[in-house]
Amino acid sequence: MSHRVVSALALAILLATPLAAGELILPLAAGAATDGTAYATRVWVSNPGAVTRRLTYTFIAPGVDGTKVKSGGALEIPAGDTVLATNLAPDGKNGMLLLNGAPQLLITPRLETSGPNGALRAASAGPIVSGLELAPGNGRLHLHGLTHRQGGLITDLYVINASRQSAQCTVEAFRDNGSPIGNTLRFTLPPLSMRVTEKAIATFGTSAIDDARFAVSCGQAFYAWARVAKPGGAELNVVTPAPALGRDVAQ
Amino acid sequence: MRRSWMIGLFALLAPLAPLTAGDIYVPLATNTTLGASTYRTLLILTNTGGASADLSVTFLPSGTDGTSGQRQPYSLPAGATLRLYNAVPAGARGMFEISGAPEIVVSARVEALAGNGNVLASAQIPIISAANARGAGEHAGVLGLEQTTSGTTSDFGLMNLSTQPARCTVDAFRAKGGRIAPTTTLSVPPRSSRDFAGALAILGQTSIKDARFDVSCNQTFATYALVYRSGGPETVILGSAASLERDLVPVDGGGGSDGSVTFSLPGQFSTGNNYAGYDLPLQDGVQYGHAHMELDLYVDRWNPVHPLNPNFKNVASFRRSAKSRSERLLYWGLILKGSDDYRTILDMGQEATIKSGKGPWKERSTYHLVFDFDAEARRITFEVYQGGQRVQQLEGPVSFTDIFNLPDKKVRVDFSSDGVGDGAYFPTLGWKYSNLVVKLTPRGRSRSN
Repeated sequence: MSHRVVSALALAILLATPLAAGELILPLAAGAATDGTAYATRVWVSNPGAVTRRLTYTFIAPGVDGTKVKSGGALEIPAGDTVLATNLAPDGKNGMLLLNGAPQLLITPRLETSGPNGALRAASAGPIVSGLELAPGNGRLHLHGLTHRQGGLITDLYVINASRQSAQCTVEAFRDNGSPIGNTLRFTLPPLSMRVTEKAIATFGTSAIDDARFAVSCGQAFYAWARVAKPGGAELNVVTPAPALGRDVAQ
Repeated sequence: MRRSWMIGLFALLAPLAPLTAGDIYVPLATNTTLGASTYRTLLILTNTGGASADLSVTFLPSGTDGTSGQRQPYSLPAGATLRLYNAVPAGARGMFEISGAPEIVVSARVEALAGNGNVLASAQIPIISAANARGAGEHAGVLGLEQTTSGTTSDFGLMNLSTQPARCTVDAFRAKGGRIAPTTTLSVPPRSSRDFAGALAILGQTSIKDARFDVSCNQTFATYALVYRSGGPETVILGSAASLERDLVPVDGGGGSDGSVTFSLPGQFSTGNNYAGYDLPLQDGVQYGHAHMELDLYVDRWNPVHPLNPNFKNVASFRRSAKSRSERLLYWGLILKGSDDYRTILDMGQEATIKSGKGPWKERSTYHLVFDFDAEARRITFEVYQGGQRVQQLEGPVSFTDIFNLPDKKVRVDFSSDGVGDGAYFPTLGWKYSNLVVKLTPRGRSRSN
């Protein structure tokens, strides 16, 4: 038996195939503002286990049917290591990563903003989507505390269809007194896909508002979040769905 | 009388006993000065429902027993959003405990303010709820911690969500997996948090990146970290790292230890103006013997169309869908008569019905509905509660007992209707449906409701 074959066998054993690999969606908010502000997502992957584990990743661009996208590659995370994963997605591209791997692996993303000179301007914990965060089909997620100001904070909305079927989605916008803003936004999302609505509040016909709320619903399992940021400034808020009261935390 | 298991779960505006756990907890409740900046926690609260709703906010200072904290009540008009800036005393740090109506949603931010009041940085705080709190003995990982010579530091926090003191262990690791220090054991008073500013520096680290903490407690707990540079742009609030333990399936459709599945929609989920249907997360190949469903129903107006029309309202049904009508199967359908005696009618399929006498239903009133469908005993029990008192009960035989999914034929619950049936069956225009919970238990399993 050649040395190369032995090595391959050893690698196969070390890369202990998980009994029940799980999935996560990691939304990516990238791109650049007109003033040169650039957005990027950094991802830490940790393997607290005792054997090397594999993480596979698939980049899905906005509007693309994710069930038809080929896997982008795999990372091998040595036992005990925490790695800052790089090159998981094309530079500067919005989209999402479908992550698949051993249940022992831990993931934490961070959204960062840098200026034209590369200096860090803002950093914030990024969203990550598992079954814990997903809403069931026809459920409703609320994003509140949203702002749109000319030359100030703007809100970009991200809606994700996490199912393997296409989904009809709606977005309603409200003021802080509960009155609706504009008309309900309706769109169809391909299976396993994401839609970005830049300057989302403006699409409802309002150019200056604070504390607006989006109520998002889709016909399949879904998720929504918003990036509220001031181009050129240090404010960078990742607004994830606001949890509801009414359920004891101990249950 | 067997009390509903969900009345406690979604009790609306019920008085809160001192030791009752909160609905959510917000770490990093702060109003403190760090370096040149003031860090202040902002709560954003929105009532997504159609009627006024109440909540209470309790600030629990770090390191002290929080089981007897003073609750501050608030009432939110329908649709309104409230910003709370001043719920933390000056110089204090701790966590918020928030309880209230399920129509209210909550988020929180920490804002770093310059001396002139300008916002230097703003970051959303991860909120701890029943969905992400860690049980006793479970582990939570916090990744991406750092302590640098340029001033970036990592504060670490622990939250004990139980009414008993907690004993926690923290293991700290370098990026390459080596231990930073021996296991640290920490105690946390009941219902409280502890903060460790500059946690890596406490462990003797002055220049380190990509560190990981592994945390476990002997009570229900949560953990978090604040990675920041005073006066700088980084204000990263980290919750527990996500794991790859699950498929991309909503946990509301997750399973119980007895094989049961639960589907829930907290808050208002339908206005009744249109048909709303929800496929239930039944496991393929599993037959279910028991389906228990509860929800809150606000009856708005009857909207009579003609004095001679009985004005039946299509409220809800539990069925197995199919493309052709002959293949559809109705376990039960709830119809309210919007005229004369306002009776309740349970359509049990196969032209069988269970009817009440004069019904309790009144316009502009909220009711709690309980459907207990026992396919093994071949009985259904329907109960209606108002203000915690049962105001109606119906019982009777069921027609269909095979609760399971078939290819392209899914078991579902649905509400209202898109159109008018047979000139007399109407959608529930303007009615409000809230706080749905459906629990299905496989045949032969003990019932835990």
